[in-house]
Amino acid sequence: MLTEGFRLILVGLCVFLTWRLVTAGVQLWQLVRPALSVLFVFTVIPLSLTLFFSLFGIAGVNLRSPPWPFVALSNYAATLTNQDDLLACYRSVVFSLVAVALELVLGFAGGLLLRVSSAGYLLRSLLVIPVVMPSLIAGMLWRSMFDSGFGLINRLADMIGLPPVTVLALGEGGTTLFPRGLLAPLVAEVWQWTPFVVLVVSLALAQEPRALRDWVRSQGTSSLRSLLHVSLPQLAPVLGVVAGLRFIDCLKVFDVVWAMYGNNVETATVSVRLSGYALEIRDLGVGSALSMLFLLALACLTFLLAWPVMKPILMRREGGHT
Amino acid sequence: MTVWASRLWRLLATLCVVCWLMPLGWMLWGALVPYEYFIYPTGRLFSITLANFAEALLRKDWQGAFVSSCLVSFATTAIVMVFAVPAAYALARWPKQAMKPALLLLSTHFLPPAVSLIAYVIVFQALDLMDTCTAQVVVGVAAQLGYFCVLLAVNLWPFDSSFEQWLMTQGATAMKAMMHSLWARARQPIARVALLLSLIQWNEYFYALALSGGGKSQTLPVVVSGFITGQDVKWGPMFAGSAMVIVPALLIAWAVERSLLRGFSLGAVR
Repeated sequence: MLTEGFRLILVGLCVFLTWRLVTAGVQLWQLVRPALSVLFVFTVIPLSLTLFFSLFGIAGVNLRSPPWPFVALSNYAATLTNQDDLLACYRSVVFSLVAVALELVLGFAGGLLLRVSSAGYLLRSLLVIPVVMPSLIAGMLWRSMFDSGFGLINRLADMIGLPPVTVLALGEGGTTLFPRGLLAPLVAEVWQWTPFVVLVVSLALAQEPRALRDWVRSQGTSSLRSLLHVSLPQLAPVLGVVAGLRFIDCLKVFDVVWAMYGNNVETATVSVRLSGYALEIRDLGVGSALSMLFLLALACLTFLLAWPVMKPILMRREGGHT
Repeated sequence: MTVWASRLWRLLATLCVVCWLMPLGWMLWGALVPYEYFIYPTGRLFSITLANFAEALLRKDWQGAFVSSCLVSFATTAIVMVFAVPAAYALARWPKQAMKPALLLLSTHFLPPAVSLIAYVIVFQALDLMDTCTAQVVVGVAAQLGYFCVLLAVNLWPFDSSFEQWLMTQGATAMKAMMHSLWARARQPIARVALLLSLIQWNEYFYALALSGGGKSQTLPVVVSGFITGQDVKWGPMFAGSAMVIVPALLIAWAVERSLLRGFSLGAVR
């Protein structure tokens, strides 16, 4: 009954917005507003609800039976004193920073290699494969590669005479700067997305004006110097956008970690932890509080990271006005 | 560069790509050889089999998952496109005023989906919508709409509006002129972006897993991850199933390769 009602409301909303779209005039805001309203309904409202739910004790017997008891900020206190939650936040951030750095460095080198070797269509098409596979499958794949019994890596290590690679084994305990349990997911993530950076860099390099390259060469500049002082500055905006988008995506990391360890306290990132709160621990109040805190942390982090990039742009804009 | 040097570079690049993609070969190998041989590759003769593919295909949840996957990615794409096309058109046509709405739309992409998961779970539970494709479509639209408005705008830009103005001097309404102009000049980018979105939705796992607890609305990635049962992982069927999930995505990707790169980098490369 309720389900049908909700579906009806949804369909009604879509029909209404489409009707508004068709009857409204053709102006910027009139065309953009329907999309914004959909986003408002499905993003801003859930977010406000999360804030609201984080103030209530939604767990155990009263999970499905509102009214829930009002607990003020004790959910936040529970999250902030729970070491596992804090570590999960730390893991997400460290994972993203390291993954993006590796992807950029390897991707830049790979892009140069593709450019220098003027690699053909076939190689590019092959490089697309990891990018378009579900990251869950990339995670599973690397889990099997690292398997201590039959995994390819260990077979190769055995063949060469190296000690077995045991990245998947946990239980060392202690907190290192880069959590050991994230090593295998990191490999999967870097393996999946470096080809994307490679392709973007090689495309961007190919669009470098030919005349500029010829001129630089005619000046007798060494190729390393021309790379550092001509190509890199031109690529900087592209790399910046790619780094930003990859960083955001990495913060959401769930699939690769889940594929390798499931919901394991020692390796959980924030997404894994939150899905655990929602589906296994079923403490939705504390989960909501963790969501809000993570969002707050993200906002601060984004601001800190984006500020060095944004500052010159803003300054220049202000300077331009005066 | 001499001929030899360039050949050497090309050889090096090929070698690097082959090494990098070795895990894919490993996956195909695991899908094509019998399980026992995959685990202990000694003694027995090498033989190729399709049994793993058959086992994956014959699982009772595979067909249902295929339908759910198609349904979710198609419905999400359709709904997102209905709202994204006009918005993107507006952003591309009036780029000077587009900064503010574009940033507003894009800001939703910066929100990790997990942050709203619990609110969705509570609301869907109250509405008895857990484990339905509707829930996944709603969440998919919420997660993708903002980004794809901007992405489509980047793909349409720069948009010359003289055609509309000419149509309007011929007596067409503004709406009609917009429709004609979009159909005449933007249907290819729109189709490419729509394919890209269906690909992303096809691969989606986080929400698909979290919202399909009961199993009725499981999508293909969820079923593939279901080959893990406790400690036992059925690698052969898992790899075979993965290969079958990747193939449609790969076909789309090869069809729209340039747009794919542009899409994942928000138009940073043209």
